[in-house]
Amino acid sequence: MRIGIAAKLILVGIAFSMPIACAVAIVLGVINALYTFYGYVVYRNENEIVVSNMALAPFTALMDFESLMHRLKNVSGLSIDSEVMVLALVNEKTVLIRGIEANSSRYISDFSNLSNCLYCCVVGSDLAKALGIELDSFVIVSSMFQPISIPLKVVGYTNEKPYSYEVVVPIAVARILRRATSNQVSVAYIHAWNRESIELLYKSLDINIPRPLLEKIFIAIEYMGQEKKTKFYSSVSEAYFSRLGINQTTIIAASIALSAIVALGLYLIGQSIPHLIKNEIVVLRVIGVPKILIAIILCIAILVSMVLSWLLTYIAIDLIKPGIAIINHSIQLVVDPHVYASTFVIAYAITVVGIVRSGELNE
Amino acid sequence: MSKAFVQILETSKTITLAIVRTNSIAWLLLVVAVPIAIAVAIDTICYSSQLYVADLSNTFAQVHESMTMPITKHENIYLCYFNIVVNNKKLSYAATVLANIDKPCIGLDVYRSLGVGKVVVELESETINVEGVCKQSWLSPFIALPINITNPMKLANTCSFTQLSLSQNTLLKMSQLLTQDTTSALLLIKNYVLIAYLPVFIPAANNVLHRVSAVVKALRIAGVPKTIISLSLIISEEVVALLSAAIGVAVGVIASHLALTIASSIAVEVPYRPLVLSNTLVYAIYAVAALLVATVVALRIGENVL
Repeated sequence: MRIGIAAKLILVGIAFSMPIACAVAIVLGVINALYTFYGYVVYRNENEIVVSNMALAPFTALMDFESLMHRLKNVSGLSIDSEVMVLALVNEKTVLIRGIEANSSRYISDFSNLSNCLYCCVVGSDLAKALGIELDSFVIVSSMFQPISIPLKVVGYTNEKPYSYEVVVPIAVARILRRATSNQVSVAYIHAWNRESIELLYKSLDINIPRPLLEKIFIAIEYMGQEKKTKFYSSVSEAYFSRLGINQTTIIAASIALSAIVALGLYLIGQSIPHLIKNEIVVLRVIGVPKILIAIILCIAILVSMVLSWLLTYIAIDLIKPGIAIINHSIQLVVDPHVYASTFVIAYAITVVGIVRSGELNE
Repeated sequence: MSKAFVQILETSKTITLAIVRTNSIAWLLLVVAVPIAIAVAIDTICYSSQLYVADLSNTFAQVHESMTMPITKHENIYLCYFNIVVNNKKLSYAATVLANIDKPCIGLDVYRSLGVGKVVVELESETINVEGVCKQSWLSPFIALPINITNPMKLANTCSFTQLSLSQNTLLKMSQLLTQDTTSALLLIKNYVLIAYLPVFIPAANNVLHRVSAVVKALRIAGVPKTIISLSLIISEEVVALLSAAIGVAVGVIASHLALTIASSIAVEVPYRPLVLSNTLVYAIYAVAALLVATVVALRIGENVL
């Protein structure tokens, strides 16, 4: 087969498979972004263990921080930070308000100007741009949990993610908005300085965790009177979604299934590929080239074009701005390479079936 | 004119039968019904969830209103920023209000949040000890001082006259918001699927054209003009497209019904709400328009068939 024909096949293959590859990547990216959103919001530094209550979302969870501290009082080598997250209205937009301990060293951004200022806030730069909030101005924050509004002075900006779409306030202010008591927090971040401390930590919380998961964990604690129920998860998102009966496997299976349905159209593209070179196929058949060999060559050509389509889309996915936001956080599409590769296998199989069953090869 | 019309109808009938007989209807079904089924399923799930949250919100609002005292919508206050001392720690920019109250007090939420029942407010050259929780619920996020404690005009630098709006927000607003955000993400998936399927229409139309080529040739031999055959082919494909769109809508409805039933059994019970007809008509237009363009392109590419 001439190089020109092969190039034509590859180019046509790319032209037809690229939209499907894009749609598959967007389907996977959006589903993944929705699933990992809570993990993005509950920003966990490396080697940190997140502890929270069993709730539907980090901004609805409240846990007894004092009780946690009490349980961990005999464990050395730990540094513990906490946050209170709450949704509120700022300039008629719903915004995530993150109450932090301003002196904590866990933040890259400088929040020290919140440490001696109660009714002050640091506004995320993207949010400030979107809402037109200026430095030294006041923003009125209205709670979603109770009919109160608080004026806060804007003392700084932050462009660190995920804070760039949020309003960061002293933890006491977030508690006011959330109507939480001084010992309640949304999440606690525990940084253990060594493996021994981690093991002691789990022992104090009466949790048996498999060794490989030791440093990658989310612990959900629920108190029912004196009774304590503890569960552990391998990711923050898994913990919150498990309340809806959805785990990561279900999400992956659903996104692969949806991608496979999206890729069904490739069957027809596979059917049309041999048609593009039907005259050449006739000649090849006349000179005695077996059907199977022609089919293999076509499959290789379409493999090259589909690999290129999938690869180009994977590279370009970072550039795609889907234009959707969850609680003002503009979401970025992130495609899991393994899941994306598996959708490629399915899509290629569908195309190959189309090629093999095409009229030109079976005449 | 009427003769040509009759001829188009008859030719369309012949081609439609050929499309069915040669199984090429299956490809049109695949191309048209699959994206429409996905789109309708996503639309229905979003629509049902939104209506569910809206209903819940209304019910909650009614219950809430009957159970609680009416909340003041606006309060005229002097909002001031004094330094306060809490547990020997000085805090600046502590929002303090000068309100129509008898004695200084700490708002309930400030009290709960700071965990202290006593703060010291540094007012100009004097300090005021504030103790006790405010009775007025709207003062709960503040430390409040009586308005007559000092002349507000003197505090022009630290105080400003403000009308504070107190809105009745509820947790339901949060569910509405999350539903909206998730819905917009799902609708984005839907739109991309519909767009991604557009190029597939061309091979589908081409496929149909080649599968019915024998019938087309027979029609040509019988003396039917090319234009009549082309128009008839377009009409036949559009009829099949409409049928496929209807099947797509039906599959989408069943799929969304199923998805909501499964979701309801494991999480929140969201009842199925059927889409209004106008919503699904958009998909019929999508199918007809896309296949029309694809058939015209296919006819241009496969001109030799005619």
